[in-house]
Amino acid sequence: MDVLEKELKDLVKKDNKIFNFIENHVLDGIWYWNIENCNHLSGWLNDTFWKTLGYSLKEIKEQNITLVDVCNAEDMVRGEQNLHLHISNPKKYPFDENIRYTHKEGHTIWLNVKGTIVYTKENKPFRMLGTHTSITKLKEAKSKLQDKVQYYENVISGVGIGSWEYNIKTGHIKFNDCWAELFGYTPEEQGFITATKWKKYLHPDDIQIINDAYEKHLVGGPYSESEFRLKHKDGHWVWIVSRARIILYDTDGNPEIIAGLNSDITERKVNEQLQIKNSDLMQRINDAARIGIWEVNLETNIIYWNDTIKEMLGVPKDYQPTLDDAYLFFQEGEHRKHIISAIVKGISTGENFDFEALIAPLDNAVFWGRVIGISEFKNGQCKRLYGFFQDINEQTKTTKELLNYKTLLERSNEVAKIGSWEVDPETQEVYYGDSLTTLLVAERNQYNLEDSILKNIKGNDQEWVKAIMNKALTQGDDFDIELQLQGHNRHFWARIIGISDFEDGKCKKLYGLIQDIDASKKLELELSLREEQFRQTFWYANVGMTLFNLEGKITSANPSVCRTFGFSEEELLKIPIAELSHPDDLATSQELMRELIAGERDNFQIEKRYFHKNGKAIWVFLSTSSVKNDQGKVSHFVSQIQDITENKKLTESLQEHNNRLLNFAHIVSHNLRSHTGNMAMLLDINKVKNGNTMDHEIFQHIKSASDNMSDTVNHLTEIVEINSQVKESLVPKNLSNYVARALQNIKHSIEEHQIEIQLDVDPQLTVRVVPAYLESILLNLLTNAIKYRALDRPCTIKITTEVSEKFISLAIIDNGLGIDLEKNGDRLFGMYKTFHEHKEARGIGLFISKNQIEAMGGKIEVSSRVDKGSTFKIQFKYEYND
Amino acid sequence: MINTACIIDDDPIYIFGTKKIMEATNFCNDFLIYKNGKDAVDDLIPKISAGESLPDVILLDLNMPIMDGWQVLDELVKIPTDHKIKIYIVSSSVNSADVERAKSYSLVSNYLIKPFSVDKIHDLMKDLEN
Repeated sequence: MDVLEKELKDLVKKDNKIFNFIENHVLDGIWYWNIENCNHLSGWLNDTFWKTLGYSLKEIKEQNITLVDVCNAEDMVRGEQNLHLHISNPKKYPFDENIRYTHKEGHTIWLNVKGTIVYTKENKPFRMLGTHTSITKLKEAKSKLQDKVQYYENVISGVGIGSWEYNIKTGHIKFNDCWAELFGYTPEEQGFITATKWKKYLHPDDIQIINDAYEKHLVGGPYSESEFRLKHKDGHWVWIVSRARIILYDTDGNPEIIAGLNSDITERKVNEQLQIKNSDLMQRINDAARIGIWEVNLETNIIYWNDTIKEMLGVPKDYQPTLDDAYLFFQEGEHRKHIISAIVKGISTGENFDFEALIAPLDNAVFWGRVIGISEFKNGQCKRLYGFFQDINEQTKTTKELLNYKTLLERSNEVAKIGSWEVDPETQEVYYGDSLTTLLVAERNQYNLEDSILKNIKGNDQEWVKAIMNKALTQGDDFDIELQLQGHNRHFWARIIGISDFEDGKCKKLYGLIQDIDASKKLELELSLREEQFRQTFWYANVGMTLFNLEGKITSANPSVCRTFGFSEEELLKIPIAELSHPDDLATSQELMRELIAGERDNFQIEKRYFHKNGKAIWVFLSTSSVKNDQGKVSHFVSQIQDITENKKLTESLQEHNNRLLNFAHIVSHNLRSHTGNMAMLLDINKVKNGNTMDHEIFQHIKSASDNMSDTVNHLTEIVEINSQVKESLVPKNLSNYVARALQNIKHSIEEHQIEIQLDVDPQLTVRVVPAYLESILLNLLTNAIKYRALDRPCTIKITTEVSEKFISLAIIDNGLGIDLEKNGDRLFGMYKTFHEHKEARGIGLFISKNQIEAMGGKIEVSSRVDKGSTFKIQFKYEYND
Repeated sequence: MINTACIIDDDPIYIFGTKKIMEATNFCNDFLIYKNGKDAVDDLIPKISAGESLPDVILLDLNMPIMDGWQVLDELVKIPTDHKIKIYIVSSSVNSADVERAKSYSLVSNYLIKPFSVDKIHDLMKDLEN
């Protein structure tokens, strides 16, 4: 025994202080028990023990707290049993118990209790001396460790991580169950496996990857980390991620054992590749269709724009917009309000949107854009908004020109219907995206080509599409076609884009989009139809048509115009119109053009002369209209040009003919008059000189013939006069005065036949007439009324006037014999027509009157009933009416 | 009754008839007859200028060969004279243009339309007396 140890023991025996020090500081408590009479009260527990449990000595004494109060009952029973066992055979049963005590504050304190028997001199056990050591922390740590182990066990088995150890020297691989299961084998099936055997499962392309990763680890990388493919028992490839480390080096410092973990990442890999494929698809589609893609991530508040959008908006590629910035690219006013409300709605209610708005880029011109937004809603909250953006300016501009806003709004309310599809060239299997299944009312599942897309195509187009598809599959030609598809209960126009993934002369994949473009296509068709109609009209019209711009340059001339001018269209486009115009007509047409451009008139029609290519003047009837754009500004002109040269020639020769006829009529009437005048004169002389010869019958007849001839010549003269006076100016005359004068002239006749005249003529009316005609007409009609009166009743003649919009009319109404208009209506106003057997009826009066009235721009109408009377109604021009 | 009546006309029947009617109605004592405008101008103008005895009334036809009635009128207009000669246009033309034109000459008293009859000569006589 050590000297010092002996000394200390002696010291303990002698000096209480030393024991006290040990008692107080070394242990968490000491106990000393009477085991002769053993129960829970027969021992001593020192202060440190109580302190460990949170009690002071004072509290123990005052509250009389004993071991029973603080010791876990279960542990106490076990402790007592073990104590007795220990006493019976200390060597076999050492007393070493972990006992739970309750701390003053209620929590559990673990104490390790050890004890040793103190024997009497007779070697009889009578006391136990023991210690308490706190093991709470140890217990806690152990329990945590236990949890952790359990946790990792769960994780590894649950997630299916395979672990392995590879002995480089022996080539053996040790593995857990999961490791074999990763590629479809039971541990038993794999059994004893070497690296050489394992490598047979490895995808040949991935050997290098593993080697590279290992090399990296060798030169100091913390792990050898790689992703590779293993051939599954079923034949497919399984993606594995592996992380391994050299865990043992041999005495020469060479790696001996590598250990690692493997797990299946096939799903992730497939997703990754799908993602790459999809984003590549999207990008390629977007490049083709110039579709912008945007996204607002509401969790990170980051906005993503693809390059297409940035290009469209004229911002640099590194531009990072905020939502507020983005709004500013919408034109102020309704367009900006629209996008803000659409975004707010999308975020708050998950409502998708699709509308068209005016976009104001930084430097470029304002254009129409279509904005489609899709709200991704999860758990009642919007996670992100994303969508498309398309420059539809050209489309919209033309649309705007022809459609009013209402139809546009209707159109913009439609949801964009785009669906994706994919064809596996080997199997000809077709895969439809979700929206396409709705679009085509098809199932998403796989089809062969014949039964899928082609089935939705109208008969005539099937062969065509088949050929295009084949070309894409065999030659890698992308396509972008428009055609009609059969959808749900309807045919609709669709755009099909196909992209062929062509590598090494083989199509790996054929995929693309189908978009419902029914509305816009129909519009386009309608437009092209109208355009075609116009074009047809333009090109095949017999009338010459030209379009020309504000500078007077012809921009388009149809074949008819070219024929008229003798120039080809190409030549016409180079010549200013003014150079073709006859100088005498230029001023007039230029003034009209000025008024047209100034908007003072919308169109004009004139007859004017141009020069033919051969230098000859041509007469045309030119009708020009201005065409205004949607801002109401004149944009160009449309002219109809009718070659009337022949007409003009005809009119001129007709005019000449007329003049000749008129001269002829004058000469005839003059010369005839001279002769008949002479004859009448000679007869007159004869009557005076040789009165008796007049009794001779022959002379009677000569006289009668001469008189008739004079009358005829007079009438003819009068008719010639009327026609020649057509252009003579009319003068305003008071109608009432002329009626009065005519009545005065026939006063004698009126009195003689006792005719009642009922006068109802507005004294204020003024008509535009040739005075001599008016006299002649009134006289003629009034004498007719008297001449053809009914002899069996008193004769009444009513004269009335009436003012209508264009004319002043005068009616002469009699109650005379009347005329059978059904029989004679069409001949009433003819020359030498008489309808009554009246001695004075000559059949020339109404003919002359009608001609005179019409020469003055008026009209004469008649209504009559036989034996009831006739009404002659004359319409005169107003005083200021032209 | 007037002294001399001058008839300028190329129509012999008209001249014959007119003379007969005038004789029958005692219209005048003497006749001065020209067969066309030129004869009349050649003979009358010097006479008027010389102040010799002149006809009281001239009956002028319009349509004549060599020199027509209008040309005769134009020559007569040129000569200033105090002597009052009544000039009547006598034509078978009823053309209003002729009538209007005749009225534009202050020399012309009236426009008479052929043929003459006894009644017309009576009217003319009354007109001249006024």
